[in-house]
Amino acid sequence: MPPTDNQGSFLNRISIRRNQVVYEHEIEDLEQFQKHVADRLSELLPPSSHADELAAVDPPETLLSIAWFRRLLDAFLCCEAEFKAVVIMGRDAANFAKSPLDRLIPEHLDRTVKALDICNAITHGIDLLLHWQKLAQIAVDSLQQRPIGEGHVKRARKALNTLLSSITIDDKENHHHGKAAAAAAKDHATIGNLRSLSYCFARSWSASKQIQAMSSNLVAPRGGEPTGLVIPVYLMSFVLVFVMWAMVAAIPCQERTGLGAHLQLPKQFQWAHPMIGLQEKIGELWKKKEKKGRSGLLDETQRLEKLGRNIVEFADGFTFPVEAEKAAEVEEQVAEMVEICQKMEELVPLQLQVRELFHRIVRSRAEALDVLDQMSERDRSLPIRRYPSCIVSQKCITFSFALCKRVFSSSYKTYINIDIVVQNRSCRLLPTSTMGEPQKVIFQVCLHDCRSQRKAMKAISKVIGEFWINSIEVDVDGNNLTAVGVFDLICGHRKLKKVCKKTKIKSVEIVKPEEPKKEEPKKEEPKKEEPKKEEEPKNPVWHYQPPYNPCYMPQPFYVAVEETPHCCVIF
Amino acid sequence: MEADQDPSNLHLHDDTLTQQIDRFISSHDPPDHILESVQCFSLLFDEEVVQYESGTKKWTLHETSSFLVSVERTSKLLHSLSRFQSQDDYAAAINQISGIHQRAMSFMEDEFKSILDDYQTSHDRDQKNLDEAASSPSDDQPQPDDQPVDDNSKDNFLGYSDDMISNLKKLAKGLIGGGHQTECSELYFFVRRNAIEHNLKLLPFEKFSIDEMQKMQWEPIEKEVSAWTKMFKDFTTSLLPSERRLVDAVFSSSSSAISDSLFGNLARIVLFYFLTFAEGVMMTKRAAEKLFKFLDIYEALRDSIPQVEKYLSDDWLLQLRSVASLINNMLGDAIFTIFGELENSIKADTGKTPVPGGAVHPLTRYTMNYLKLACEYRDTLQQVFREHKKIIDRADSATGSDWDPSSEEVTQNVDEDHGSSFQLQLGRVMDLLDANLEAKSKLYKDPSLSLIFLMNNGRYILQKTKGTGEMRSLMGDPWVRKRSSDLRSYHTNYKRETWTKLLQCLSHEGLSVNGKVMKPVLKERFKSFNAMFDEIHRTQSTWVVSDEQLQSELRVSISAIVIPAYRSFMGRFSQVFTPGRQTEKYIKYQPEDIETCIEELFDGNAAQQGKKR
Repeated sequence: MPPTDNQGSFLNRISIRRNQVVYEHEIEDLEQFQKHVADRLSELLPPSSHADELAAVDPPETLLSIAWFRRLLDAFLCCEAEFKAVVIMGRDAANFAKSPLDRLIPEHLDRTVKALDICNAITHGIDLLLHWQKLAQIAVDSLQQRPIGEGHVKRARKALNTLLSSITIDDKENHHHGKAAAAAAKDHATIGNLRSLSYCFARSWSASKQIQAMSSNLVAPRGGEPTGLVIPVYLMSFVLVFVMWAMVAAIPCQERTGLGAHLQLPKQFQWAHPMIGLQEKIGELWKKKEKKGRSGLLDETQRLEKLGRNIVEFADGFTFPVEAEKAAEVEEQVAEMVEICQKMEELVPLQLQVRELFHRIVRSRAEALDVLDQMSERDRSLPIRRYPSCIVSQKCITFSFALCKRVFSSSYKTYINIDIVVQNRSCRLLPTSTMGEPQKVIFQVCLHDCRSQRKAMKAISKVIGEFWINSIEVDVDGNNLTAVGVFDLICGHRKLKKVCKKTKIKSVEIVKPEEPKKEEPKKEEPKKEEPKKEEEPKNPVWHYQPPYNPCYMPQPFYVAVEETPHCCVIF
Repeated sequence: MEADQDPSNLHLHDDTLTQQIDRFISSHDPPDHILESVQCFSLLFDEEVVQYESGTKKWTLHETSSFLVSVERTSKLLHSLSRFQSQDDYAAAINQISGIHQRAMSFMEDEFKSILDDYQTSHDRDQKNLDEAASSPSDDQPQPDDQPVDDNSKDNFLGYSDDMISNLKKLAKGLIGGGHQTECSELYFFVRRNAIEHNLKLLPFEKFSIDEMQKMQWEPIEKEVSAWTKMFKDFTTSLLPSERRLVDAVFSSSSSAISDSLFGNLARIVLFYFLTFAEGVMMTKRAAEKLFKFLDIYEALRDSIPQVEKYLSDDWLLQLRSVASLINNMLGDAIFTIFGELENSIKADTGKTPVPGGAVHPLTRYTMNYLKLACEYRDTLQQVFREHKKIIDRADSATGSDWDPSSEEVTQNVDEDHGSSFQLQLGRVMDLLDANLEAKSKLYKDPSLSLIFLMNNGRYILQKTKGTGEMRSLMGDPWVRKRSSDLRSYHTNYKRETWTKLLQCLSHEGLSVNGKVMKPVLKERFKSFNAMFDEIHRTQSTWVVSDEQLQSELRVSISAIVIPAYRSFMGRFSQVFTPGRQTEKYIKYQPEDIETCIEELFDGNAAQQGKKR
C-alpha cells in the first residue's frame, strides 16, 4: 500500500459499497496471516531443524513437554485471534455466501465444536496427570529422607506402583474401565483408584474418532479459488485439528487407538511445513508408543514412567543399608523426578489455558455465527435486530474517526446495516477483542537507537492513537515494543514495519482491567467508567464481566518488559 | 518375633519405656540405652501393627487413641533419631522404625479408605429409608444415626455415622501428623470423587458431548434441561454443602488449606459436569422455543452459584466466578438475541391468506402466549436486558473517545423513567404485532369483517395482557386504556359499517306524503330490509367471535339498535298492509325472529342453519 494515500479527504476513506472486492492490503493481510501461522509453528519445532534468531532468546522446549504445549496453545490463541481479525470480523457477510466459503465456514465451525469436546476431555486428562504428579511427589519426598530406610522405600514403592498401574490402566481401553478399576483395586498397594475419565463423556465417545471426524472432510482447496479467504479458513481448520491431535496424543484421553493415521497434512502449502515437521516427529513417537502400549506421549509422563519403573526395581531389591553406588544412582533418579515434578507444576496453568482455549473457541464461534446470521437476515431483507441503521451523512464524515470507531466497535453487538470501508483501515475493528477490551501486544522489533525507537513509537501512536491506547513502551535492548490499548493490531504491525522491516507480532494478550493482580494498572480508563464500576459489585458474580477468563493469567511468556528508566511511556 | 526375651513382660504403653522415649524425643543428647528402648518399643509396636493387620485386633474407637499415640511417637522418634544418622547403629534403628512407621501408616491408610468407602451402604440405606418414608422396619439393626439424618439434614454427613466421622478424623490427623498428608488427601479425594460420580451416574440425566448436542433434536435436550435444572439445584444446595461439612469434619484438626483444596476440587468436578451441559445447550442453534429453557438455566445458575460460593476459598472462587460469568454472559446474549428474534418472526409473517371468519390470527395467539410465558420470567429477563445494555454501553464507551459521559446518565434516567429496556422491547413487540395485524386486516374485502378481525385480535391481546399480572403492569394503564378505546372504536365502526344501511330502511322519513303512507315505497322498504338482513345474517353468522363476552356484547349492541327501530317501524306501518297474504309477504320477521337471528351471528358454524331457515 502506498504510504501517502492516507492524507486524502475523509470521503475517500469512507466509501459505501455493496460489493466486495478483496483489496490489495487485504490480500497482503491474508498472506501475512499465513506467514505468521507458519512462523509461530516453526518456533515450536525442535532446534536442529530451525535455527531462528529467536531460538537464542527462547530455547525451544522439548517436544511434547508441558512447556511446549503451553507454547503451542499460545501460538494457537495468537493464530486464532489473527484469523478472526483478518478473516471474520468487520467483513461483509456476503463474503461468506459464495461457493466454497458457504461450505467451508460451517465446516470449520463444526470442527470447532468437536474441538470443544476434546478440550473438555483434555481438561480431565490433566486432572489425571495432576494425580500422577502427586504420587511422584510422594515418592520423591520419601526417597529424599536420609538415611533411606525400609519404610521410606516402601512408601515410595507404594506410590509409584499406584502411579504405574494408573498409567497402564489408563492406557488399556478406557471404556473397559470397570474392569480396570477392579484390577487396580485388587492390587493391594494402591492409593485411591481413579476412574479417570469415566464421567466425562458417554462410554462410546472416542477422542480418536473425534479427531478423525474433524480431519476427514478437510480437503485442500484447489488452486485459483475466487476469494482469498479460502486458504486462511482451510489453514485455520488445519491448525485447529493439529493442535487437538497433538493434545490428544500426549495427554490421557478417552479411546485413541489409531490416532496416528488420522491427520493428513497438505504438502503443497508453505505454511503446512512446520506442522508436517511436527507431525512427523510426533507420529514417530506415537508409533513407538502404540507398540509398547503406554499412555500419553507427554514428555513428562514418559520420563516419569521410566523413572518409576527404575525406582520400583530398586525398591524391590532394597536391603539396608544401601550400597553407595546404588544410592548415588537412586539419588540421580530422584533428582530427575524432582525436576519433572517441578515441570508438572505447570499443569495447572496449562489446564487453565485449555479452558481459555475452550472459551475462546466458543466466543469466536458465536461471533462468526453472528456474521453469518447477518447474511441470512439480509437475505430476508429485514431490518436487522433492533439497532437503527446508521446513516452516513456529511456530518458523519466530518466526525470521521470518532463515528467510524463507534460504528466499527459496535459492529459485533450492533448490526449496522451498512458497509463502511475505511480505506486506510485504521478503523478496522479491534482484532482480538471484540468488546473493546484493551490488549497488550508485544511486537518484536529491531530498534537499536533512540531515533528509530522514537520513530516507531510515533508511527504506532499515530495509527493507534485514534483508538484507545494506554501505553507504548520500548524495552532497553530495542527488541520489543509493547503497546497496550484497544487498537488494531494488524494496522499497527504494518505501520511498524515501515520503521523496522523485521517487525513481528510476538504476542497478544488481553489485559484485564479489573483484575486485582493485574500487572498494568489501567489508570486511563475513562472517568465515567469509574463511578459505574464501583456500583456494580453489589451482586458480584452476575454483573457483567467482559467475556474473558480472568483466571487464565496470560503468562508474560515471551519476554517480560523490564521497567527501566530507559523505557519511554506515552500516556 | 524372634527375640522377645526382654520385652515379653513389657507393655507397649509401659510408662518407663514411653517416658524414656519421650525424654529422648524432647532432649537433644542421646541418653544411654536409648537404642535398647527403641528396639524394645519397635518390637512391641510391630506386634501391635501385625495384630491389627491380621485382624486379630479389631479397630475400635477406644483403641484408636492408643494406637495413634504410638504412631505419633514413632514419627517423632524417627525425627529425633535422624539427628544421629551418621552412626551406624542409629541408622539401623531408623531403618527399623521407618519400616514399622510405614506399616502403621499403610494400615491407617487402608483403614481410612475402608471407612470412607463405607459410605455407599449407609448412604443407600438412607436413600431407601427416605424413599420408603421409614415405613418398613426391615432394617432391624439399630441405627441411631438414622433418625437425626432424616429429621435434621445438618447432621447428615453423607451417610457417615458420627462414629465413622470421629474415626476418620483421628485417622486423618494421624496420617497427616505422620507425614502422609498427600496420601491421605488423595485417598479422600478419590473416594469422594467416586462417590460423587456414582451419584451422578444414578441421576436420570444423560451425558451428551457438545458435539452430540449440536446434532440432536431440541425435544430430548429440552427434557434434559428440565432434569438438569432440578439436579443442579439439588447438587448445589444439598450435596455440595454436605461435602463441605464432611471435609471440614474429617480434616478439622489440620489446616484449612487441605479441606479447601479438597472441596474445591470436588466442587469443580461437580460444577464442570453441570456447566458443560449448560454450555452445550447454549451453543445449539438459537430458536424462539428455546428461550424458556435458556432462562431456566440462567436462573438456575444465578441462584445456585452463590450458594456454592459460600463454601469455596478465594482462588477457587475466582475460577468459578470467571467460568460462571462467562456462561452467564453468553446465555444472556443468547436470550437477548432470541427475544429479539420474536420481532423478526412477527415481521416475517406476511402471509396473504386471511383467517376465515376474521378469527384470532395464529400469530396473535403465538405471540401473546410467548409473551405471557416470557412475562413469567419477567425479573430474569429484565436482568438480562439490563446486563446486555451494559455490555453495549461499555463497548461503546470503551472505544468512542467522544462518547458523552452525560449521555449514559441520561439513558439510565430514561431507563428508570420509562421502564426497563425489557419493557421497551415488549412495547415494541406489541406495536409490531399491531402493525402486522393492521396489515392483515386489509386482506379482507369486507370492511366489516376486517373490523371484526381487528376486534377479535385486539380483544385477545387485551385479555391475555390483563390475564397476566406481570404483563399488565409492564404495559401500564395508559396502554390498557388505549387498547380498550381502540376496541370500542372498532365496535362503533363496525356497527356503522354494517347496520347503518339497514337502519336506513327502517327510517320513517319519506314514507308518508301528507300524512298518507306510500304503499309501494313501504313495500320496497320491507323488501330491501328483508334482503339485507338475510344477507347480513347469512354472511355474518359464519364469522367468528370466539370471545364470549365480546360476542354477547356485539349481539346486545346490535339488538339494541336494530330491534327497537324495527319494532317501532313495524308498529307504525304493519297495519298498512292488508292482513294475510300481504303481511306475510312483506313482514318476514317478527322482532323476536330478528332477535334470534342476531343471536346466531358470529357463531362461525351457523352457516347451514341460517340457509335452511
